Amino acid sequence: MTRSRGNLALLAAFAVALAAAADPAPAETGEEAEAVSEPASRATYVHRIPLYDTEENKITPDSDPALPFSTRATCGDCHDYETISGGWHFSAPDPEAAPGRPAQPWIWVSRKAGVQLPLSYRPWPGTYRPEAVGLTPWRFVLRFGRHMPGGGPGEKFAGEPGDDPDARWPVSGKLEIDCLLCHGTDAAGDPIQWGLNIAEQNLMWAPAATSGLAQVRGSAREMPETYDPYMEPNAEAAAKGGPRVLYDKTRFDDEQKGFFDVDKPLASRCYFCHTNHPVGDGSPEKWERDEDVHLAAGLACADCHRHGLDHKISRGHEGEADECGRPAIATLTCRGCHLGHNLPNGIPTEGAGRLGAPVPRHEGLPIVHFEKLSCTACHSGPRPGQRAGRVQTSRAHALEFAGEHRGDDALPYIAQPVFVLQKNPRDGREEIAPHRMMWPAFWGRLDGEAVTPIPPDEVLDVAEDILEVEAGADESKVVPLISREQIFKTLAVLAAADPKAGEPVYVCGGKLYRRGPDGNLIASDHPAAAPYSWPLAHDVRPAALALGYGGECTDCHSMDAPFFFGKVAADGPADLGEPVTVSMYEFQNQDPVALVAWALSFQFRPFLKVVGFVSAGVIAAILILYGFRALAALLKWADREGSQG
Amino acid sequence: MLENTFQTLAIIGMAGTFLAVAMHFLVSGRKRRAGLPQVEARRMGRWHRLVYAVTALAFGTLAVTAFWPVLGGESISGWLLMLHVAAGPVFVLGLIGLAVLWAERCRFATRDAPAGQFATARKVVFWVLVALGCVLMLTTMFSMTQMFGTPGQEFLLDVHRYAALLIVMAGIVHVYLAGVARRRPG
Repeated sequence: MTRSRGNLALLAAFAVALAAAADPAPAETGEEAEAVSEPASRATYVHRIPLYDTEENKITPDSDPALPFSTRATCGDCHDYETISGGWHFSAPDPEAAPGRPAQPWIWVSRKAGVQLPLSYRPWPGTYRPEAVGLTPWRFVLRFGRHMPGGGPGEKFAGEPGDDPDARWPVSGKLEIDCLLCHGTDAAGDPIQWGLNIAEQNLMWAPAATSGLAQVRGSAREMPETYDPYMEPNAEAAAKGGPRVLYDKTRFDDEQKGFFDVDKPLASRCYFCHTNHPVGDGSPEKWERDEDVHLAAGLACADCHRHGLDHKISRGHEGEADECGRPAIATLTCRGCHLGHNLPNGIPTEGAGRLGAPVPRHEGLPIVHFEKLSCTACHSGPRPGQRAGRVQTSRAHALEFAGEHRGDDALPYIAQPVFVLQKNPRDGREEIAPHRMMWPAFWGRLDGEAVTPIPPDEVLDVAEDILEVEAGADESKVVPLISREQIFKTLAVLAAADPKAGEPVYVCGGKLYRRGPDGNLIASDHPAAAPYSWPLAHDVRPAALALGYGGECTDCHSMDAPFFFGKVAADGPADLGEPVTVSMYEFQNQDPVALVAWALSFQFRPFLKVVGFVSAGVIAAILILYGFRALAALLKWADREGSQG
Repeated sequence: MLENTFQTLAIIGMAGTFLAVAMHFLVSGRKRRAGLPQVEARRMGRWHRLVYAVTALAFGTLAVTAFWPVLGGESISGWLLMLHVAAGPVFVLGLIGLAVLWAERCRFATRDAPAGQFATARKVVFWVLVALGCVLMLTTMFSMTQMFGTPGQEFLLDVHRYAALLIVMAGIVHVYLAGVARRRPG
């Protein structure tokens, strides 16, 4: 072999060896490179991305017809949609999902039928499964979808074809998770469009309508069962009235990529579903109320309520880290941030002050308060009054939607704050915490000890003429509450409609009502009439507005303190006379006599302090005087002993 | 854990004190009864007896209401707490009375005459009771002010607890000594 051929061979061998080392074949290593979908940088990634429809076809603004973009196909291209769909906001119907701590339920309201029924897919005691009252996923989405971010019963748990004859999923499309409802920061993004399009059954179009990138016109609700959104409409009515998307072409670049303005969720987006609005006599107007002190300090909701790709948002209550098996969120509780730990005491440790949280001194506050009370008891919600106030919430009262449906007297009636004894999930210790509370009202059948709700629609079907608004009444006003007579007659009609079923009853205002032999209603106590409550944590008040601040022990320890002696009215959507009122101490298993006796002692507390310090001073003076005398005696003894020695 | 530690120490302390006085009585009781010097015992006046009785009653109430739940692993609360708080001022005033009325009697003289009224041990126990009573008062009073944050409140509570345990132990010894003292007949 000549030298040149030898060199060439050597070079070739070297090149082969270099290539093999640089790029090992996957079959040889047995590993596949992991796709890194999210940049590690804290800088906001500018989402100028292609849009795809539900069939993963690329969308251009000039397409005719233009289909709505699918978040599953578009966002899911980089962010694992399946993992995200297991998050708290989307997983309620999943039987495998953990139920979590009970929270605000969905509330089926019918003023005409006298119903305010708490519902939940999660097995929270005191709530009812939607399907138990005839709410299929389709009906549930149409009724409550305005404040759901998609997924759940609108998509993954929509049921099988044929389960619900009224469902029109092939016409409306599925309600995918709308990432932009929370993560969109576009000023043109309008969550109101979400609710409006769901009302029109434009489920597949709702994310596009809300995004700010497009407008949606038309209504799937008006379309026939044969309507196919993926095909050219073959009827003039469908062509004119069917849903259509009008993309803003200025939001697309020359590569047909659309721009999504995306960042950490803004508080205003959280507020769309999580606003609480006090109503009733003496309630402050919106401009008179302050926001949560954390927001006022510059934090965002998402600074405390965080999650990873799994979207299992940390809710911020103690014990959550252990429940979920995620130690990282242990310090995202009140105690965790402000004290550095989650122990039942108020002593700060190393690690306190996360996110700049001030470390509280709690001067003069006996330690027993940290064992008996949650942090929210003193710091959260409105300051308690002699009577619990009423509150309306986004999800229960559709606060974001203007209209006659929402007056101060709108159902459901929710009371706040109500100080209730609850179990701390961390250690099972019982503590008092502020709650919101509603008293269920519904028609049901009593079978033994159990009450099974009757779907309100069924009640209206058989008793609509009884429950109709009286002729001549101004129907533009709020429908009056149902009367005792109407209740009695409706119970009679329900009994006649199905004699073999259990006795029909009406639950309202903390009581269960049955027909009496003399034409009157008989009221009795029953577990089904017990109120349903859920903990409240916002709005957090500044420290100076906390209960007991500045040594004001009598905020709670006085004979008329609202914390123990405030009243909660068992309001309901029926005119049954003066509502039953319950005192706060009844929700805390407290002895009112002991509470009064303890409060009485605080009348003498200032005098006691003076007497105590003076007494201690006198005794200390005696100790000092005789101590010196004892010292003198000792010195004399030492001198004597020394002299004798 | 701290609650369990104090519970354990309380059981050991009280049981140990009872055991110690019982053993002392068994070991030295016979010898004392056989060879006790005749002690000139001045009888307590009416006011002395009243103050002593009231203070002893308040002391007993405070001890029982405090340690009954503690020995059972609970913390004081409810009606027991209220009784404890109500007995506190009575004990305070009674202790002042005892300190004023008995301080001179319990003074450690340069020479304790053989016929001294109170044995040295009783004097020591008296002053221990008064000093610990003062500590209990001060820890309670300071905890009612805004001078201490949570670490300070926990410190005051700990001092109050352990001072209470020591005063109960001293009280057991006091009762024992008071029962052993002999009076001159006639």
